[in-house]
Amino acid sequence: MRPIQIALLVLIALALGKVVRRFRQGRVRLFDFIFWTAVWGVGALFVVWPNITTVLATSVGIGRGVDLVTYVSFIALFYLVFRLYVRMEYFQRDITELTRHLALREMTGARPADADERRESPRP
Amino acid sequence: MTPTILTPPPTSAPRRLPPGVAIIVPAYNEEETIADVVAAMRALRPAHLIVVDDGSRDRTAQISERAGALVIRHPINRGAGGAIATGLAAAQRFGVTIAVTVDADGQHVADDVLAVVAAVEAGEADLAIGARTRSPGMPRTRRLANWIANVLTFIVFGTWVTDSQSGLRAFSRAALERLRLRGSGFEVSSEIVGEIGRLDLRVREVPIRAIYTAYSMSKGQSFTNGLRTFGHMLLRRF
Repeated sequence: MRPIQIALLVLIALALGKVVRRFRQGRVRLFDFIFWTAVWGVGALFVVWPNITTVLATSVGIGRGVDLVTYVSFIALFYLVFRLYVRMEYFQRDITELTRHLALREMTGARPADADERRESPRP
Repeated sequence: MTPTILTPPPTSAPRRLPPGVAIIVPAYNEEETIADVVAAMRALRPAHLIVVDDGSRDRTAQISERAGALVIRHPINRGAGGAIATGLAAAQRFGVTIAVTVDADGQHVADDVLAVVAAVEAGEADLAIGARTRSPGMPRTRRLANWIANVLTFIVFGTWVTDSQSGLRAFSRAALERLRLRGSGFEVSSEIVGEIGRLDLRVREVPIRAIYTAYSMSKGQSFTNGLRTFGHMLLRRF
C-alpha cells in the first residue's frame, strides 16, 4: 500500500469516527448516518482498490477512474453547496419571522390616530 | 398581465388621505431624512403612520418617534423585505383599509402617495404601484437598472410591470390578507410583482415623480447587490 493510500484511509477513518460519534450523541439522524457511512465506506473501497474506479469509468465511457471520481465529486460538491444555500435561506426566513414577532410585540411611539378617535367617541 | 397606466389626480384634490389608511416607512440608518419624511406623511393625516426601523445603528427610531410616528423596531437588521412585511403585518393587525409603503430616503412626495391610494380606493386595483419610469428626473443608469430588474422579474415570476422596484405601493385590505412575502432583502419588490400573478391581483401603475438626490442614489442597490437579489429571486421559485 502506498503512503497516499494510508494517508487517505486515516482521513476517512477520522471522518467515519466523527459520524459515528455524532450519531451516538443523537446529533445526526439515522438517514444521515447511513448516507455518510456509505459515502466514506465507498471512498475507502476506492482508496484500497483504485482499479474499481477505472472499471466503473470505462463502463460509463470515461477513460480514467480518477476522472470519474473528479467529475462525481464536482457534481456532489455543487449539490451540497446548493443544499446549504437553500437551508441558509430558510434560516434567514426564520430569523426574519422571529425578529418580526419580537418587534410587533414591542411597538413604541405615537398611538394610532384611529385608536385616539375611537377612545374619544362614545361606544355604540 | 399588463397593468394600466393611470393619470395622476388633479392637484386641486384634497391633500388628505381617506380614513383607515396606514403609511409604512421601512427605514435603515435614515436619520438624515426620516424626520422630513415623517413630517410630510403626517401632513396627509394617515390613520397610522408606521416607521419600521430595521435595526438601525443611528438615531432613526428616536427621531421617527419624536416626529410622531409609531415605531416598530427590528432588534437586528433584516433587510428591506423583512421591514416591509413587518409594516404590512402591523397594518393588518390595525385593520386598515389601505396600506401604503413609502421610501425613507425622501424619494416620494405626498401628492404621489395620494395618487396611489386613490387608485386603490376607487376600487380599480388591489395594488397600485408608483411608476417612476415616465418621470424625467430618473437618471439613465437607474432607468437601465430598472429595466433589467423588470426583465428579470418577468423571467422569474411571469408578470410585467414598468417599475418593479418602486418603493411606493398601495395595497388594499384584500391584497394584504392574501399576500405572502418571504424575502428579507430587496428581492421583495420583485416578489410583490410575483404575487400579482399568483393571486391574480388587479394592479395599476400610477406615474409618479422620481426625486433623486446624492443621498438617495447612495442608498440604492449596487451591482453586486443586484446580482444577489436576483439569486434570491430565483431561489423563491424552489
